[in-house]
Amino acid sequence: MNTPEQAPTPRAGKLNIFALPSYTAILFGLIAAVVLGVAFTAWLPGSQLWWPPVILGLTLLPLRDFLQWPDRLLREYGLSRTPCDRSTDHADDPTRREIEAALATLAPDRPPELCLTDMPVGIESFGTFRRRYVALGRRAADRLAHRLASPHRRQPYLAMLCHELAHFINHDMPLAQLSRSLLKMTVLVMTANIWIGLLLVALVAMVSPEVLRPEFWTGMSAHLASLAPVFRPVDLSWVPAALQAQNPYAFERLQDPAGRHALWLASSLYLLGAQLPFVLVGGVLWLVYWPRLMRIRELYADARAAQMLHDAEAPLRALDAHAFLMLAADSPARTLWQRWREGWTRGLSLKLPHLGGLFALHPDQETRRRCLADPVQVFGKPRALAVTVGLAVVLLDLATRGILTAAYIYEPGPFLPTLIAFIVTSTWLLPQVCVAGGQTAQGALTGKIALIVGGIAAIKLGMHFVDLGLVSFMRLTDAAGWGRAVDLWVYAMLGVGAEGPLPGLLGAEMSWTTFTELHVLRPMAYFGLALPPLLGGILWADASLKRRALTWYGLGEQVRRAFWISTGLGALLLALLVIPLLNHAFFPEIYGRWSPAAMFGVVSSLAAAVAAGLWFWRRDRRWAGRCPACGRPVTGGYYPGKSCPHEACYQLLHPWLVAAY
Amino acid sequence: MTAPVRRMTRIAWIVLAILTGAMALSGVLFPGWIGVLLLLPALLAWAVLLIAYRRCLASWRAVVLTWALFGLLRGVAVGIDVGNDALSNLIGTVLAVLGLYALLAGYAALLALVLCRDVSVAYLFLPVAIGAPTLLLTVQMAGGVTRWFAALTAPSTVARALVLEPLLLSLSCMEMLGLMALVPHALITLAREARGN
Repeated sequence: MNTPEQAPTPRAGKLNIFALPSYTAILFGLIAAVVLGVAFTAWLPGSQLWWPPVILGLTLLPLRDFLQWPDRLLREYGLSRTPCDRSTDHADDPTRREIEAALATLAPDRPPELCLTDMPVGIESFGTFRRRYVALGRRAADRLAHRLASPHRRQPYLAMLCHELAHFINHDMPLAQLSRSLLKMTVLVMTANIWIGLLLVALVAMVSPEVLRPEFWTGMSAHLASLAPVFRPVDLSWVPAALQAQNPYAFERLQDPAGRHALWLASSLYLLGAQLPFVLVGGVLWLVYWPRLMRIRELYADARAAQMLHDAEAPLRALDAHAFLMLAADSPARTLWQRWREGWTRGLSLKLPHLGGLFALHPDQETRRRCLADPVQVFGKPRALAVTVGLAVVLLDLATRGILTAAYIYEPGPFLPTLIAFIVTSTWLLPQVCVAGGQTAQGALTGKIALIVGGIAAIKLGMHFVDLGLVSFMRLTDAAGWGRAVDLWVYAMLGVGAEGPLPGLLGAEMSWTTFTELHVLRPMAYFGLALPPLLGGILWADASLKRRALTWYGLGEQVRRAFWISTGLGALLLALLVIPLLNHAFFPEIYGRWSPAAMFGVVSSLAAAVAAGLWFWRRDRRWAGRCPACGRPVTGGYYPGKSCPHEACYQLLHPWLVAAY
Repeated sequence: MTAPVRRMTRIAWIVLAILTGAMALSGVLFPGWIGVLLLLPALLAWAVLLIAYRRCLASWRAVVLTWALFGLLRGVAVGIDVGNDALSNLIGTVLAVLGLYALLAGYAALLALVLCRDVSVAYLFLPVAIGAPTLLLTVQMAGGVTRWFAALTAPSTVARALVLEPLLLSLSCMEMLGLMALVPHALITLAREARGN
């Protein structure tokens, strides 16, 4: 077996996934875009939302939680960070010395700090941006040190350490934990807001008829004076007038005991409508997307360990070593929540294998083996990506339908979901483009794009079909009653109490047919008919440009610049040209007139397309299909491991895209 | 705990026990004002002990325990003090002094916890989350704000121990400490991250 010190020997056919954007980062971006995208739209022009509590709450609290996470683990596990030379107990601790030496050999620049505990812990790595820790239970550490000391048995244990180190080298540790903190805080903060808000509204509704009467304040002044006769009496009779001046509408409604119920109902609806979408969206992301991110990062860690040891089998042998170490640790220390979650996941996996796999935090051994044999498999199948992006788009839609955003933020409309779908798919397609040599592979790529775009559109349309079903049900059952319910929702959005005198909207101001057309049928046509071909076309053009750029062999790693320019251009064309054109065509009532800013956007996107086209054409003429060593032409598309076909050259093309294991 | 600190703690315990005993007997054997005079050095000894045991105090468990103990001691002290005989007075005084120690220990636990760990957000959230339903329920039970306020400030209410008393005192302190500790803790966290340790 090779050792890490030996030079890497690239093997043909395997894609170096570390040379391309990581799927872990893509998933993190998707989670962050769905949660923070809605919050950051508060900065868009026209937004009436007071942004500091939303944006600061959803950024600073998760960051605080993430930065304090290692401290919590250190405390919970009772981990000792004392190096061997500082403590009398550990004065000559061979276990610590052996493991620290191995870590220092594998990561000479920044080895993680070793933390030991007497608690039953296996091996676990954790940290933040700049803090790195590897935790081990005492018994597991003794066994590990013993194996590392044996030259014949150390390789699988070295691979295991490489896997743990890979989480730091791949930078997936901050991404995984930051996304967890973001989702955790979103769910917790919004749930707390609902709890506190409902109670305060109830309190205000309950005490207002009494407290807002002038007699209450005169009585209170007299009562206070009787409590402390030595002090000068305080006159509180001015309070009701001050409260009335602050909000006359609310003052009038709160004074009336009969109107309290309606006010309580409207305020509760407002609170729930504002916060509940965030709780639901955060919950789904936490339960489904975050475990997926965790599974993907394990596959990346396997690939990194294989690359460090130049041995694709090493990470698999490390799994056995890990199991052996866990036996020594008795049972790993897990919180009640973790134990419940693991038991539930395991039970579900047995009953429903496909569904149970969604919640697992580690991939199964077969997936690991498959991904080590063919690293592109880390990115999964196009169908899985379509479901991931489609569901994210629907979640984003759900969040933007909430009162907190819908009433105050006029955009993002279709901008954010479409851009997210494009950027994620375009980045995901990059490894597929890299392995797509030959004409048949191009056909396969087109099929993948069609499948992804079709899948996303189908999921989005599915949501609109649910809307259509609901509207049809409302019209067929009790149109007047349901119309009142929709009115209540609209008034709650506006923060208006929905009692008697407010005029009816649905069925009076707007007919059911117009409502169905505007809110259901036209969005269905928009997302089902118009957008998919255009999105698919831009994705296809983007993939074709990238495939062509891959033949610029002489540019080496600088080809990556062309990848980003291509994706950026696609996003720019979608944001400034395609979506505004479709918006004006489908919703002239909302986007009636072309504003100077929109016109400038169209012109500048076209100018950017021309400039990027010229840049691409010049580079293509100079570099395309030429061997960087002999300068002779190289025909056909690129695939990892492709060499110059000319005799006496056989230069490996784009060696940076070939995995070293 | 180092040897000098251990020695000082032992002395503080002895001083505290003697002074508390003297205070308890002050109403029986000496004039009452001597007990009031002894309170200051006793509190100083107690402060020394609280500082010495700050690590034990810096936990949620200690916070709950000290405040529960305060509520219990106050309740028992007020309950026993109904009689006018010497024994009732003696037990009542001891319980009142112990209640005062428990109250100070409760405040010290809150302070120690926020100094040792960043619990500022929890300190800010808990009073709002618990305070609102508490207020809602008590006002509802009293039958209105006027009645609630009148009952709360009535001499009979002030004279007896309320179940809510430890809750109100601890939550108001938490809110203030949470506000004060939020930014310093954030700065410390950032500094630790920048240092990589």
